[in-house]
Amino acid sequence: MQKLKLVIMLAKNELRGRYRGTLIGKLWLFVTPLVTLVLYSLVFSNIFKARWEFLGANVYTNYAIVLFPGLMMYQLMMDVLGKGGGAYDAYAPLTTKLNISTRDLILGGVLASLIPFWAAIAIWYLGVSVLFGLTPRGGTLVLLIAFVFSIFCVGLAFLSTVIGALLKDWLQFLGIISMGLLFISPILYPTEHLPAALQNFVYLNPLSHFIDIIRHGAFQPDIPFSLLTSLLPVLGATIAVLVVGIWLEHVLGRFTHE
Amino acid sequence: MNDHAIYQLPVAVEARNLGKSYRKHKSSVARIMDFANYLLRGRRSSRFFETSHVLRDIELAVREGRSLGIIGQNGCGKSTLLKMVASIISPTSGTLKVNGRVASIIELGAGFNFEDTGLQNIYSYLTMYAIPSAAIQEKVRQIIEFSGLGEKISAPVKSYSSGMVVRLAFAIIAHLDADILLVDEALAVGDAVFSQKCMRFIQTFKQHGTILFVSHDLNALQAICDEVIWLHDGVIRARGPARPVCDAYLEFTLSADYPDLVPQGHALPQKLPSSLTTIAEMTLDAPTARVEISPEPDLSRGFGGSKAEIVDVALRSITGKEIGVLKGGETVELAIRAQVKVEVSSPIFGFIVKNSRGVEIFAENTLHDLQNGPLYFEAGVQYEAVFRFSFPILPSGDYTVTAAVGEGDFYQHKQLIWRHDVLVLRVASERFRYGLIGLNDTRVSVYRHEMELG
Repeated sequence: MQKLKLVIMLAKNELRGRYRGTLIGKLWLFVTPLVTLVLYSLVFSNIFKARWEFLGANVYTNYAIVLFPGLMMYQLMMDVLGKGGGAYDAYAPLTTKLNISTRDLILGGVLASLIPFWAAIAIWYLGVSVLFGLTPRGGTLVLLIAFVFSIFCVGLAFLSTVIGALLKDWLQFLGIISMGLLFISPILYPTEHLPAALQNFVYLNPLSHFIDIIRHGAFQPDIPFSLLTSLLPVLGATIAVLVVGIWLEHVLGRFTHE
Repeated sequence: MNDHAIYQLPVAVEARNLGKSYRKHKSSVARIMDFANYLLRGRRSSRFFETSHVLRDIELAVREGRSLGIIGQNGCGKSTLLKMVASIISPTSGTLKVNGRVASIIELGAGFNFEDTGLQNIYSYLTMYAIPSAAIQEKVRQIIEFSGLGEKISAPVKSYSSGMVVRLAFAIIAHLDADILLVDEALAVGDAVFSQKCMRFIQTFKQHGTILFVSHDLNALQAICDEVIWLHDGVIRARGPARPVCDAYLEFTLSADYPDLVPQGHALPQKLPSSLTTIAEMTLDAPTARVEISPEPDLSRGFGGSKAEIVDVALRSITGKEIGVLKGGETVELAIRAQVKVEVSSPIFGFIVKNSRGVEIFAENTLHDLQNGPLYFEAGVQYEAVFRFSFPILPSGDYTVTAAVGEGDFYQHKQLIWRHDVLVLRVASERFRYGLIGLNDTRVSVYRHEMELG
């Protein structure tokens, strides 16, 4: 309970710090994703003529609303990977002088990234409901997968912490793979546009699975959804990442301190 | 407290064979190999790193309500020991038991977010130290009051002076309901009045809590600590009552710096003096200073006041004139005026002058009069005691005057009104030499001993 309060306090402090002194303050929470969205929409739907023809006729031309959740998930993932990767050095001034653990600081940092993510997802799904109607099935699936993805990101942050602490090159490497993770995924274009040989390659990116499911819930709620083949692997991977992440971070804590 | 009674107390901090070492990996690859080895086999191999020992074989038992001083040169492991007690870092070997809630003043202001306001930082700290929500409002009020920051508490910490940051930090630490207080070189904080407040807090804390105190200030150490350990290169080199350990440490540091100054334990060759010839008569130039006296007494801090109230305290010249500045050596008057509310049968006027570390430099009261019988004060009348004395020569620094009126005799008395730090005396001494008090009008003769070999 006390830990939870601490983590919430750390997240609040970070968010407060991020927008302090800015002209529009917390509005940035909404402006940033919207501007990103507009920019990507312009480039991809108007210049590269990307279309979501596989999602049905009513969604076909509405490039932005399909792009949005994927983009938000991508940003959240890169955010937590970066925070975890730099955590051991970045938090050293605190952890070497105060009785506060790196683990709690990372959780606070991840929570500070999750709050804008959930705000963005909520606004987006409100838009989806207005445009295409709300179904209980679809809504449940969207909420569930957003939640599972959040947990997945907590696990990723810890994994990234361990790698970053052991290998200082990790942050540089993240910079390089961030591009790959964006383009080798269904974020900007439908997977079906790729040659068949490359399509499987896209699914090596864990993001792709989450994005497919959230789009399924939002845009094709009536098409049957296989829990066994779609959701279970994602759930399994999430639990695995979380457990391994927490365990390795725990071992790392002992490794560095004793 | 006798030894037997001390051993009955429960142990607050206990270290057995405690050690701390740091590993430096030879390369990134070695670090990963070491981690893999540790992960898979639970072992570490010294092939991958170099070990440096910071602390070794530390045996300690600090009992509840006792205070332990820790001295030693830079890098001897003092802070490491405190950090282990604060569970900021964990021991490499041995065991460490800490019973009770620890508050540490390892680095005042560490963890402050300078963009946040003082108030927000207080909340963050209280959450970090797991203060229950129900108690937070009251704590915040006490902290703001103790820090004396007033309205400034709502300004960002980056706008604070360094003294104010430290005041806020100390105020927070003082209100964490700790059982064990760890203090690392943090007492030279703020102005004279605030340092007094900190020293008073530590003295009060000592009555019920355990203190581990790291300092290079051997005077403060001796004032606070029951026992002192001297760490040298990560091991305890000496332990015992404060005075002898501090003396031994001082002798060691002096001999390291000036090996010639310290007696080496063998006597000088004996020679018999036959006659003395004066070769010089000197009068040492008195080390005068400039003492600025705060213009208005501040009568806001202290206790008592229901039977008598101190209405004015002034330090003035013997002609009764207010003086803003003096230099030491001249005769002055310290006047304490009190409004007496009820009849007082054996009243006592007194004052104490303390330096910024809370060391009492000089003090006097009307009890020390052996010729007259006790005084008697009527209700509703103002009385004034005027102490006339030769003001001593003091080293630079801030001094404070505490004034009080009590009632009783030498053996049993109580304070009716006590006012802390009423006046601040700011001493700027151009060339004060050593010690707490300067000597006035010192004459020296230097003789030549005409020796005959015995």
